[in-house]
Amino acid sequence: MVDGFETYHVMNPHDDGIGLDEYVDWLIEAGHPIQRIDDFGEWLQRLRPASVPYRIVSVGTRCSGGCRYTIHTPMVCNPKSRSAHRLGRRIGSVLQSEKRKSAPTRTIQTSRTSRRRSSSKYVADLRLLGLL
Amino acid sequence: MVNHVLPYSRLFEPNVAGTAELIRIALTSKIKPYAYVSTGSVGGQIEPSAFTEDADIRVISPTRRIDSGYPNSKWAGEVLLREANELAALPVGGVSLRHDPGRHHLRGSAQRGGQLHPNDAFPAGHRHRARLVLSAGRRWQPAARPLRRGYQSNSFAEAIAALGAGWSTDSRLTT
Repeated sequence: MVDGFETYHVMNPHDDGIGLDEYVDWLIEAGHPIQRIDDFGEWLQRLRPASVPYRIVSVGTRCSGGCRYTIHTPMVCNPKSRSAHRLGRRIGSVLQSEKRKSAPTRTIQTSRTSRRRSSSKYVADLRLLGLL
Repeated sequence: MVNHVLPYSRLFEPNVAGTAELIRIALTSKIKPYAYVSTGSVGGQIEPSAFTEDADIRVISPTRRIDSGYPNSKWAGEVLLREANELAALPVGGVSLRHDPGRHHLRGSAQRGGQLHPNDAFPAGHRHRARLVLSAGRRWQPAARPLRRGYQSNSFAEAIAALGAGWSTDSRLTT
């Protein structure tokens, strides 16, 4: 620590285009009986038990008190949020130098395959723990 | 203590007073370097372009709105460490899990089975996804959706350990 105070932002600068939709795809492909309903209104109608209190909120708003469930409207996010890889350069260089030491665990999870593998590992782990 | 529901008053003792106590230990007799793991949620009240690795938290976020307890308690810890560094030359290394609005997630171990915390955001979410019967259609416009760019926690545990090892042998500490 040259100046006695160092901060490292922990981020993954790699943009592999994977979002939660892919995780649902992978669960479906792995045999989970999930039915996709493309129309948001229809999905909401079928989802909603009449007795459950819920409120539909837009992304980015917080539900403060009083409502037990929130359902987010279909989302469009600001593309600017994808440029966050400008941050976290220091930790990236640390990880890269660690990676060069070629220990097998020191890899950054970047590929679609490894992401998909992590999805099935989570399911296996959750089963192992009796949570599924 | 990571809890996004508890108010600041409940997180003050573990996260703020706890940090102060550890600073006291770090400054007692021989000065010991302090490795602090913070949170990206500290940046929720900071202009994103100002929220950089080199910025002094006291400058970019001098006052806080009282909203969520956890980010504010971690912010207070960062402020205490900046002060300790300035007043007593305490060497501080901060590792901040700084998520962006695209929601980066720290993921569990790749190697071992069952090593996850069921209440963490990703495992908890995945547990519910795996039990889904009905899923809404694709929710994101392909070009603009937030991503899940996870890092495996092993990578960061090792990076923190490697950084910490460097801090502890820093020449400043031996003087």
